[in-house]
Amino acid sequence: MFVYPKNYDVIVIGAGHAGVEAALAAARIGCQTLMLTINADTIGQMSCNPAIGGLAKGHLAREIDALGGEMGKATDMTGLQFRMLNTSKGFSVWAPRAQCDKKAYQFHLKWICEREPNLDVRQGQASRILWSSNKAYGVETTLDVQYHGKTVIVTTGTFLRGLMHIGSNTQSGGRAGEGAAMNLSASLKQLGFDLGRLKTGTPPRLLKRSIDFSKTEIQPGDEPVPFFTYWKDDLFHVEHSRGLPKGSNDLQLRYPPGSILERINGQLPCFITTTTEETASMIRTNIHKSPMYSGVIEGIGPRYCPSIEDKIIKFPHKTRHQIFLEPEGIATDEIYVNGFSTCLPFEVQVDLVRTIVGCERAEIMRPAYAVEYDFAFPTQLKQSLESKVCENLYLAGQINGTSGYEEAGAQGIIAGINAARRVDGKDPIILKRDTAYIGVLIDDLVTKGTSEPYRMFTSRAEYRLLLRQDNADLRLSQLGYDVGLLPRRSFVKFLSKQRAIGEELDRLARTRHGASSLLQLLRRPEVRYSDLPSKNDRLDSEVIHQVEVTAKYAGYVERQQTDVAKFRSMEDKTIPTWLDYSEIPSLRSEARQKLQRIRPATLGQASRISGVSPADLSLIMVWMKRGANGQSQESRASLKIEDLEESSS
Amino acid sequence: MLDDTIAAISTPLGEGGLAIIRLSGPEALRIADGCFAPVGQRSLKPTAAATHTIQYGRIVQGGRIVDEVLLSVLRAPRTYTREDMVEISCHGGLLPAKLVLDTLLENGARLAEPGEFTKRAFLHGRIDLTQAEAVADLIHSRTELALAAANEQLAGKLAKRIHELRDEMVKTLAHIEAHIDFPEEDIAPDTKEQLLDRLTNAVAFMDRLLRTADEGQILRRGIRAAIVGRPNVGKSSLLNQLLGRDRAIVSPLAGTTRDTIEETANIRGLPVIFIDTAGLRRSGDMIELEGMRRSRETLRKAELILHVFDASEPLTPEDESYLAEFAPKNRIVVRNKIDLPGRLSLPANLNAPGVDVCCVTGQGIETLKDAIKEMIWAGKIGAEMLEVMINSRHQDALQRARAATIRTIEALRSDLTLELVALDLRLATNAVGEIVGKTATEDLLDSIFSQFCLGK
Repeated sequence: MFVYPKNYDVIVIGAGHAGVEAALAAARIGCQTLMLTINADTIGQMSCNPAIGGLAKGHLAREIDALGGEMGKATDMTGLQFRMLNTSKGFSVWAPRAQCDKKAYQFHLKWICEREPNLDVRQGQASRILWSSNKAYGVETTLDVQYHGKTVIVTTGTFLRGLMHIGSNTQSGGRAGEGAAMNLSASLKQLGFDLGRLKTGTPPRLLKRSIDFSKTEIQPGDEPVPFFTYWKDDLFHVEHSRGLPKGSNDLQLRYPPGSILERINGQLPCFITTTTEETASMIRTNIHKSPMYSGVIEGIGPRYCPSIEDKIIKFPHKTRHQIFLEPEGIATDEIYVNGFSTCLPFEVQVDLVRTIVGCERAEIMRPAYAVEYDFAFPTQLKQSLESKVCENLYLAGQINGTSGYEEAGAQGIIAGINAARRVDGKDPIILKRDTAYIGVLIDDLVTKGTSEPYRMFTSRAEYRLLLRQDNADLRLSQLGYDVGLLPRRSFVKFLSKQRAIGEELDRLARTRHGASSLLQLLRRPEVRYSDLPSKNDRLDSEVIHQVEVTAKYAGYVERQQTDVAKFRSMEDKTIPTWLDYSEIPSLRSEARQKLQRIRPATLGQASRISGVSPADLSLIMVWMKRGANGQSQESRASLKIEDLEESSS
Repeated sequence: MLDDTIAAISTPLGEGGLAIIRLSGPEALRIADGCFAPVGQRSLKPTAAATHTIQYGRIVQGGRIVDEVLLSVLRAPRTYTREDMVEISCHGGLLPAKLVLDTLLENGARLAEPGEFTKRAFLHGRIDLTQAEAVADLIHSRTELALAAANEQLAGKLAKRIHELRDEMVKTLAHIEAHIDFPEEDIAPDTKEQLLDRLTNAVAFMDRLLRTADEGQILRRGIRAAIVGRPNVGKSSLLNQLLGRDRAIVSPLAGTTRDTIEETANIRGLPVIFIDTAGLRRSGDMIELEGMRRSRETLRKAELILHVFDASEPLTPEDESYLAEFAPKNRIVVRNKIDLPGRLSLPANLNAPGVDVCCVTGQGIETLKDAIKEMIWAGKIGAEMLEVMINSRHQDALQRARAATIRTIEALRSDLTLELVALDLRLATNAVGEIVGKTATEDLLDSIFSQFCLGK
């Protein structure tokens, strides 16, 4: 037994997308932070598709960036194809998506972590959470080393008792070629956590030269590049351009210095193809060999990311399924077969990929597989992501039942901020459903839980028009700065952008053109900012976009804001911790049990628990008003109340 | 939850002279302004009137006079809830009160939850904290009653139709949402025409439901009063007297009425459904046996029992067994045939009002009507009241759903972006969902994943 001499503020177990954001956030706020990883070569590794963004996920990535997280910049530096999706369906559902260079992405993040002053990166496998009287104080590794710290964040992804399936072959591991974390689950159970089992899968990777791309449809990136980060100065500044001469702060550059795009001076395309009738019949012949259909796999998989066998069996009338062929990097010829995840045996996979149009001679470099892993039911967490059973212990990422790098990163940054705030004795940051997708994500998890790997969709957000990818900075950067995460230079930029938007809106409202103001003119669906008679040519494109959106959305946003006001009035009603649900008379038992288990922080959160009715909320309100010290039962006077009220309702 | 303005009928139903509808909340005066037309020079709009004054005028909706009313303006804090309140006294009876309430809801009030006025009074410190349990009990018991009534109403066809409507709307919304959230999937798009068709059908469906709510439901509903007694004591004659016309076949032969007859009569302004049950005679006749089975079923559901005796005959063991059977129910003991020499002696301590009638001459029938009214006024029977409230709630939700669906149609027609189309359709779907207690998100995802093969 060796106790490492340094006492940390924050210890992060895991260095995936949640772990990296958590560790960087805590360290940047000023905490002495340790990031413990099984393998220092796989920091920020993209286990599945090397892509960031897409619908709702792109929103999350932008929010992480607006708070001062790293995901957006890492994507911009290492992306090889960028697109803005959905531009015809309304501003709120525009979403950036980037295909990244897998290795460049992870090594970029590794380098960022290594040079973060308050962050220590250590290789080591956590085997046990150290705790006493329900307070965490550190971790122990499989080498019998103890690291002590004030707070612990667990971000173990798919590694908890990870079990990989290819056909009937099973191997212990969290990711192909890597071992699983076998002891930590038991430690969590000892602490009192309930664990469940989920499943996810990944498709095969093919060798580029074995594919005939002429039979596929090419899908180029967008120019100008829709970058993820709001802090483009950082991107185009020497800071990230390791080894390049200093002084280039030239925004005229097309691509960030040192980025993948700069290195290949352009974007790489992706390719679209389809499966064939042959694919379907081969799957039907071999379906009994799939561990999902033979019952070997018990974990629940995601419906939005079904395996190819699921697609064929559940939608038999569909003769072709769309497949995307996506490069995994600029320095590798591995091609990711998006839409083709499977856990059929390798010998079936070899022939199966060759039924895809253009892949008739394709060679598999890495087989597809499914992985089952332990997760902790997220209703065991508070909205701060701190666990209810153990103080100072936070859980973030896939361990909470989510899937996706963005979902993980979003939880990571919040867990990191809140662990740091605990160290500083400050109240946690809780983002609300009307403020950020991050808020929707965490509220859904801790209030409703999940039975399948949870992925964000824009349809999960009640206030979708307000939560746009274009205004994440307006929603969150003040907060990012206030908590000490977003650097001052970025915040100053943000303030000047905010001011420019306000001033331009004012000017448009004041300036008349004929019978109407320019602002009224801009409200018309067919009018763009560039069509206005007296426009300001010096304005930044982001400012112009905000001005346009604000003008065109005016009526709708007001409507959502009315709803938000109602929502807020319930969110602001904090349920005091002394409230004992077992004392409230007349609460229905289903509601009572759920309330006792989830212990909602506010009346708003309570209202979103399934099985809690408006009448139950009324009873809670009455009990809150009654106060902590309970009154005697002798003064019950229902008759008097009946008299007062007559029979009002 | 305390920021909006609530309304409810606050008097029990009955003929009475008056019914009172209460409004409470920050917008109470403004909402009343919107539908109250003062009459006479001294009457003022509620916002212009001083506190604790009474204004005379009319409730008007869409240029139509709903009722002639007295309106009390009660400004916070000296009110029951400590909020601004308005109390509107309108004509008694079921319909005027309901129409005034509907008008207030259309003007922006929300229908109060069970016990909500008291809840607000408590939360604003109007009721002593020591009474928290009593307030909780009241909210609970009212809610249970309302739930029971709602379940009763939703158990039937209405629920099935609401579910059909909602499923259809969720499906349409799922289509739009799938296009938004899965832009890179090859989902066959519904054409604008197909979407418009489905939405127009939904509106027509809502219109049909709303019409039944307006016309039929309310008037057809009422207190269920079962007329029981051994055969040939004059149950059918009593029914005819109460209805004021011949509905049941009357004959001196025992067992003439072989099936249950239901008829609604207006008793002192309140609809009462009288049920003439087949005599509860033990018999071997198959048809009569079936009649008796139905009678039992009817009795179980009835809120009031009119137990009829033949005053010209002594109490029989059969009479006695019925007396015991109906003891737990709200009942009135009706002694018929008092024109004949009396030979009936009823046990003491029946704990039920008794009325003497003669169904041949009509003697005592008005007294019986009073007794029925008293039972209802005394608050012993409250189900009907609740049903009306539930009805208003459904109606309100459907109306909101209809308005939002129409906005969806307009958004589609004018080629607004999909996000805006989805916004209103979501509101509409949620409003329909309120009736059956469902919200959209999970169902929506289920619908998306069952309709489309997704998974890039």
